[in-house]
Amino acid sequence: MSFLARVPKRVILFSIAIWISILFAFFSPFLSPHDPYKTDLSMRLIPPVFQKGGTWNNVLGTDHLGRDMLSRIIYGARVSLLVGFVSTFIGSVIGVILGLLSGYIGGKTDSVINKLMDIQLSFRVILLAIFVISIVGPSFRNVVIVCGIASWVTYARVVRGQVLSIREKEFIEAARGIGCSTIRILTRHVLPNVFSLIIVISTLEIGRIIVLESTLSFLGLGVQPPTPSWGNMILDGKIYMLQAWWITAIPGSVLLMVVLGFNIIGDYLSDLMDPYMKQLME
Amino acid sequence: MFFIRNLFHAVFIIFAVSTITFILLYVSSDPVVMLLPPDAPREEVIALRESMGLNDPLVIQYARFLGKLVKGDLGYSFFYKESALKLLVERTPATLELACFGMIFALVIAIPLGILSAVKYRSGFDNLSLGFATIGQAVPIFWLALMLMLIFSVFLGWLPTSGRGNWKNIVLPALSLGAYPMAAIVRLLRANMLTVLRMDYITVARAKGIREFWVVTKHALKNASIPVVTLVGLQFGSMLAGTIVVEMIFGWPGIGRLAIFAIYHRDFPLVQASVIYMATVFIIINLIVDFIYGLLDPRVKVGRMAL
Repeated sequence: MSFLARVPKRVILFSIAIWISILFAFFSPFLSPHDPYKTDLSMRLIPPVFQKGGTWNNVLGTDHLGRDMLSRIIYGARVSLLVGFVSTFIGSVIGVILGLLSGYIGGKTDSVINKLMDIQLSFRVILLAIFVISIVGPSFRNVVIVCGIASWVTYARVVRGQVLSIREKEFIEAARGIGCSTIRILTRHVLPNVFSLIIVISTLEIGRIIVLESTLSFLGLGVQPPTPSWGNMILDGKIYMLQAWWITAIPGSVLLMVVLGFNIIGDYLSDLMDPYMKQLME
Repeated sequence: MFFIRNLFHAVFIIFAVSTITFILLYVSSDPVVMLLPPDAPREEVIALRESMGLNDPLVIQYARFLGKLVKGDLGYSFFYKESALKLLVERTPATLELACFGMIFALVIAIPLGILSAVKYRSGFDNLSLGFATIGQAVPIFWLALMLMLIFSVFLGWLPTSGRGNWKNIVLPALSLGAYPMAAIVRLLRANMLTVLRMDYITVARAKGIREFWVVTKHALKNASIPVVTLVGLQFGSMLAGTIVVEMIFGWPGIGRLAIFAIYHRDFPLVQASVIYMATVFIIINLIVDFIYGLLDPRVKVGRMAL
């Protein structure tokens, strides 16, 4: 417990929020009080329980088709978190490999990868994602791939910077001296030294990817209805904002909490690390 | 010399971005399907393909695309039946106006917040403004825009939900767009001020009896703000991408809304032109930022050369 006492309260609080959303995603069928797909036009636009006209049957109200908001939010966690984790994984694998190669091999490889980073950075991520998805068509798989590919640069840049300094250390020279292959040096000696850094970046990137996914869904380019995602729920609510504020406000608040959670934990982790690495990431 | 090298680099990036959009479009879509009704006779389809040069080999099509690009021809919009570049240029002032106001708003709020947070380090005010900045960096722009609309247009009825022309129209879009840069500037300025305020020359200034107010605003801020200038420039470029969502929500007639409109109508030449155009604007802004930064801080030139 002495360890927990040193962790700031906000970090603990938001970790709990994230664990709740992960529970939502894993156990949505058991946790959701209603079927998220079941429409009932006689029950449409019921306000949340704390507002006049709300009922305990639909704690967070219903949407324009009479579907239960709470159940849809619980199911929506699946899309956001799954895209968040899988895309982050894809992005980190690409980024780390390119970063390792560019930092360790140097020379031509390095300058090509650097050029690639510049190209990727000048495509604003959201613009690239919108462009590619509008061509290949919106689907869960495409969103995951595009979000993943769109996020490799930060990893590559940071890992490259780290490798440049690790490369000159004695233990790497020793490994080279006893005849280790480049791949072995990279995976057994360099990678473990940048691993904690990768975890920090990933935590910060998950938040960004969840925002990107919800933005795509909001533009109608993400996961397609009727599958609930927080982004397309907000899109649904946009037209009904005059009559039903909760359809936009509530899923967005949940989204904000989760993104805030990942960012706060990521910030905390990077504060624990060397300030120089923090500079690299900004 | 330094600037010219950057310029070459910028041209290369624009060329690469254009090539990527060309390849993506080439492998994935057939414009003829979009131009003709589904029941069009076969001969018509073949004739149109031929006249558009779609039957030529990839290399020839690519060469033609590059040839047009060099002349500033970004293609022809299916939907508007007009030059895509002309459509984009017409809408650029609206987008730049929005981005400028967004940035002004961000700076007006962020500079005092950043300075005060550093001066009152670890106070309640500092925590509050850091919390504010953390939320500003996490909140999805589109949702923030909708919530501002909900509060100020639907509930309070103070500001209009869409349009352009009146000063009232720009407040909500600019606020939504400025939130992220504001948060980023607060955090960076605070961090820089904290470092600078501990330096020896600040102690000297204080020892000379200069009022604390001037020590902070003149001596410290001057050095702490150099990295902020770069951040402002980079964020300004990023805001152009944010305009896509904000313009769509508030019906702001800029390039972002044009791009979304083109996507919804599957007007691929216009989509492609928007991507190339926005990337180019972003790169030009970065060039200008680098240039200004070089003027502000002479050490930069040496540093960049060494890299």
